[in-house]
Amino acid sequence: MTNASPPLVGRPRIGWAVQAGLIAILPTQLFVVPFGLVSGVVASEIGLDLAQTMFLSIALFAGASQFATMELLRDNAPAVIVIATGLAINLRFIMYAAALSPWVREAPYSGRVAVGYLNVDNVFAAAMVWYRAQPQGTPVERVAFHLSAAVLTWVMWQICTLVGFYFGAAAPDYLALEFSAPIAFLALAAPVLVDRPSWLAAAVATATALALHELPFNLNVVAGGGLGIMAGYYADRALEQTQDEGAAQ
Amino acid sequence: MSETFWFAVPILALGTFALRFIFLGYFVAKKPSDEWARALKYTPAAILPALAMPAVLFDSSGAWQSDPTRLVGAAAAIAIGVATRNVLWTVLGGMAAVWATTAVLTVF
Repeated sequence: MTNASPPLVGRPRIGWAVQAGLIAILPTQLFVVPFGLVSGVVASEIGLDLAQTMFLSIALFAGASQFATMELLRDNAPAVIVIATGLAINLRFIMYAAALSPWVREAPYSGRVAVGYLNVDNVFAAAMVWYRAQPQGTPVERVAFHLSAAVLTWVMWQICTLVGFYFGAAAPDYLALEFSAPIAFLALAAPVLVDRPSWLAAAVATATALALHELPFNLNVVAGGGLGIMAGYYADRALEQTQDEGAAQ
Repeated sequence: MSETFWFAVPILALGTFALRFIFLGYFVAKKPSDEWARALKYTPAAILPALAMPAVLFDSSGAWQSDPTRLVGAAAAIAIGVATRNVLWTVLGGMAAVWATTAVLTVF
């Protein structure tokens, strides 16, 4: 998958990193495409015009919050709710940035700005895997990997949003394209549900979100997320204390 | 809707960029404190299911989901997700389950 030739000492192997990024991210386009198409379809269904659709897609570039925003706009939610819900849903990006930062700390500022704007779930996951597999890589190479994967995803996302916006009405119902969004969310959760605190967080969040599902404006998601994070946090602390006690014996 | 859109979305976009950039820009050399990091670690595990499960278990009118293709699709996605911990297989498997169930129900 990567070049076998040894690195030229001192010269960043940008081409190698770019190629690795494209190859790593290509399989994930299999859900970027339907997700983007559905995003465009929903935008046209709720009555956004082309400028609004593309602005949402380009400025936000985050599928989950785009969907939530569109639902809230359709339900005439106040702006404050739209903003608060979107930010709650996007809180995970702060964690992603914290995870990336030690790997790309020494890279140029403009590179980090681009990485920040373009950081989405599949790119972040692919980047973390590659950085750990290539610990000898330089920060510039890591930025190159991230940006090549992210730019491809960005381009596909915008194209599919456009296509969905214009041709969405023609999509057959049996493809259930709009269901690819919840499926994608479940799929993105799968890699992180690896220990008991995570499962507890997911269970508490799910139970809360289901119990409060009649609340307007996706408030059940925000409430579920908040309680779930707290549950995970306390379970994590309890687990650590138990481990400390066990080690002390 | 248009006024809300052009007021809320730019602010949300800027806020989202701030979330994405805080630890890559000025604070790139800082880590979140241990306690914040401990809490932030559970953000995806909490928010993603909270987003997904109501959409799976309730239909658009708020009543319990009656469409079996969705229930089967979500169950398949959860099973495959836990088994493989691979995003791609989970999406493919979940959607394949939806289509397969649709096909079966159309035939019978």
